[in-house]
Amino acid sequence: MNPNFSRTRLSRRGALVGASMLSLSACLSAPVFAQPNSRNVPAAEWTRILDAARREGKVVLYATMAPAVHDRIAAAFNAAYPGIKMEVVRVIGTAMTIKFEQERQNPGVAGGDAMITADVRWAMDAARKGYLRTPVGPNAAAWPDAWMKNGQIVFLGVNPWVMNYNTSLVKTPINSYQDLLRPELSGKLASTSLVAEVVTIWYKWLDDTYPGFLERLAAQNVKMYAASVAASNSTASGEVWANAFSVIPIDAALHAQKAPIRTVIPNPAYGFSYGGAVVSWAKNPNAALVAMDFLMSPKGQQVIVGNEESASPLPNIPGSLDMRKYNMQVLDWDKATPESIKAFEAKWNRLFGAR
Amino acid sequence: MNQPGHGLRITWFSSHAWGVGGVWRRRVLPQAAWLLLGLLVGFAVVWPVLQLQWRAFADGGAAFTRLGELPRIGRTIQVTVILALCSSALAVILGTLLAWCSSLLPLRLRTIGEIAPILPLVVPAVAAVTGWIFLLSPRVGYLNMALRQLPFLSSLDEGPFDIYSVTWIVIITGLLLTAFVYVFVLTALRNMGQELEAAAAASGASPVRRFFTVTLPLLRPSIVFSAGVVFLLGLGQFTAPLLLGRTTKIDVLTTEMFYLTMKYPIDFGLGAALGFPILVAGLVVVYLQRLALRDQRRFVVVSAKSRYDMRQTRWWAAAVIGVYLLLTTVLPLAALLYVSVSPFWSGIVQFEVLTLRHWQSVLKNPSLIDAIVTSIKVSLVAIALLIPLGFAMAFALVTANRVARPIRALIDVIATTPMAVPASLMGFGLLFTYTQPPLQLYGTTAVLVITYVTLMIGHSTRLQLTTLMSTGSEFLEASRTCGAGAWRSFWRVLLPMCRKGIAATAALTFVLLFHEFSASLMVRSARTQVIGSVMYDVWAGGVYAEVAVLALIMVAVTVLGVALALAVGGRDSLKKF
Repeated sequence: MNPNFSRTRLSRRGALVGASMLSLSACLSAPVFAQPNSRNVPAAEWTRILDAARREGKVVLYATMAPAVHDRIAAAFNAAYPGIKMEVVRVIGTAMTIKFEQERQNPGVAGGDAMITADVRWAMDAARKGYLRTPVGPNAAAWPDAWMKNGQIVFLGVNPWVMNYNTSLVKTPINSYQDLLRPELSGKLASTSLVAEVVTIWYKWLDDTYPGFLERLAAQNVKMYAASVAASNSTASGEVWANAFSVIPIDAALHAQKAPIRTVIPNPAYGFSYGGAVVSWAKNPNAALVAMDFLMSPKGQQVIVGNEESASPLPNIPGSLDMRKYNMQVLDWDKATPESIKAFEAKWNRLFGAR
Repeated sequence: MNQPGHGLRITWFSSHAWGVGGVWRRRVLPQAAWLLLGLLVGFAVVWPVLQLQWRAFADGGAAFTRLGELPRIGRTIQVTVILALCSSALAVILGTLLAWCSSLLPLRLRTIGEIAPILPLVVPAVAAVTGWIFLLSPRVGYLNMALRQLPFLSSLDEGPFDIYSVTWIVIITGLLLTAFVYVFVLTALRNMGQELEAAAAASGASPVRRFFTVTLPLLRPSIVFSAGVVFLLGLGQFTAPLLLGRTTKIDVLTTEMFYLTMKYPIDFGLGAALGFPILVAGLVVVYLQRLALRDQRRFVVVSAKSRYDMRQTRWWAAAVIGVYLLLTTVLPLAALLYVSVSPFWSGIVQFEVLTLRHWQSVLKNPSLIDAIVTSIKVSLVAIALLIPLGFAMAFALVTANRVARPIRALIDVIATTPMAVPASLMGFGLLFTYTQPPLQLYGTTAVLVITYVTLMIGHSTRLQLTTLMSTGSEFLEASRTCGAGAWRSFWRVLLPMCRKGIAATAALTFVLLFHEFSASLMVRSARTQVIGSVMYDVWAGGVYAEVAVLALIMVAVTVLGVALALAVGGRDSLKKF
């Protein structure tokens, strides 16, 4: 356990909410085996794909994860497949959507072959339109179906949304979202404004999980930042005392510098999955399939989760967060409809007086 | 001075003397060439805007209905206008004051003193605002902490300044814009003869009275132009409202656009509708500028190009410029430097923990060198196109009796439109334009060059227009009278007189292009990094110390680029800055 992370106690309410997740997380304890699905290809076909991938010689991955995670993925893949060079390009937010749309319409352009994106809604649309390829390979075949979307999008683990606070300034530890309502934190709290759909979905989860909480949080005069990076840096600096919204890789960069912040994974926790997929117009289609298969492998999962930065859908991955320990709930894109998000945005605007 | 109509009559008479072929060669062909220039540049500038605007007006203007439904859109527009007005007013006052102070500098300080007010431009906006955050954050800003050591402020827990307030957003935006005004006004001031000031001095007018009754009225074209330009830049200002306005719930039109583009599916129609008021404001500003200036030649002073320097020098002028430089550049850069060697941004100043690890980390980034090379290469090619294009367009605007009025009006609109559209919005328009047949340029370096030319053609034109207006046409007319042809007069008289202005324009354009990222992010291939996009990536995904490192690297490269531009333009061109 990373000493900078604080695990919170399981409340009764949390236990009830978390129970609903047991069915989803039960697959984590099931043995992994090759399943009879479309991702399973004969050994000869996989050998052919590997040979073709080596002839292609490279794969370009567009990704939105933290830079350190990208570096780990590229280094591990390049070590595992010496004949194929992985190039990870960080493309943030909707810029990736735009890039892929343009590259689809401009077949002469050498662009991204595969993606890791937090914007799963676009990937879902792309899958419906036939823009994606089904990942294949030995690890893809063994991947739990519960962690696939539309048969082509791979949910590459769960990243919990976390809180952090400045340990030099906050003397009584913060363990839960309710702790943010303490009077001494009034005017000294940070959070992130609705800069992305997943942020809105997180606020909505808070509102659904803790009725009345957002109203009380708004009364704390929260400082809204345009990015969780800015909010976390401000917390480390002491400009604000605590930050309600962050992700572990952002905090990890500050922990590495010995900044006086503590990351808190609340209980129950709420998280999102990065979606991985291969685009149908990939210039290096075989290498892209090999790359995606690698990301679905135990080794690939190990480099993604790092030191308890996220939870892997595969069991026994070293460094993976234990989702059951935190009663982790996972963002369900089918339930987070655009209509419900828009309606919630109106409420958020009323409460916080900003976007 | 020739009256336009008189000039045309002479040309017409001469054309008859040359026969029908002469009419074609002397009258139709030049106008056709100007028209072709207008149409070519016009396509590059206006077509992307139209690509966006038809999305705003599609479906019977449904996007405007959605615009009206945005929460607090009225307040957002109000804040946008107030921010633009206040920050541009501050920029005009400060920029003009600094230009005047520069002209009063003792000779030994003049070269360095004239450069000082434009130094804030070498700091990228994201870095500058981040530097100010380090200085003026209410609780842990270094300047605030230092001020709280004063006896009468020691009781405060935070402040006395709050960077996250409207006041400071206005001040910082104004300071970011001041250098633009300074460049415009100083260019005019240096090119302006001092004979009228000398006459006023001989008549007993004090320096201050001379400034207000002679110098300032003569500077009106530069001030009016620069006021219009910075007002438009203020309307499109993005960085300070985004980084500072969030915490105090201040939204402007551009931040609304930003949030819009962060969500899938992107409502391009609504984005274009949000940009529509800024576009209209741009056109209104152009109209008002024309109304205010009418015949721009009224402001030309015939002189021997400042050979006669009668202004008395003042040491306090150096103090004014020094304080400005300290506040706008030295302190933010010092804060960035300190944070860049700190493990992380902290309100506790500890020199024993300083480290170079962030410098090592950033310099090991393999994409950084590629990005710097790409940025420099594309910027230089774009500048090579921008200078002649901007000069030609400025020449068309300033020569009322040679270019037909409708063509001048067209060029005027073209030169203003890019400044009236925020770069991030223009990026989308460029993306739509150059990713569809017949111009599928997505992913090429060419599209970056076109983007840079499109974004900067307005600046290039306006800056060179100021130079041309201050130059006047008398020397050109004298050359023609002495028998030199049009091209010879251009090469031997006009161009040498404008050389310093051109070098200054090239340097300023390099700075702006080198820092540009919002439009580049849209049109570049995701694998082609420019330095601005690397900076954005670090800002969005790293620690502030790395942001500080990259900001300082950008400053260093920018300074080198400006020095190179000025060296190519001639050592004397340094005095433009």
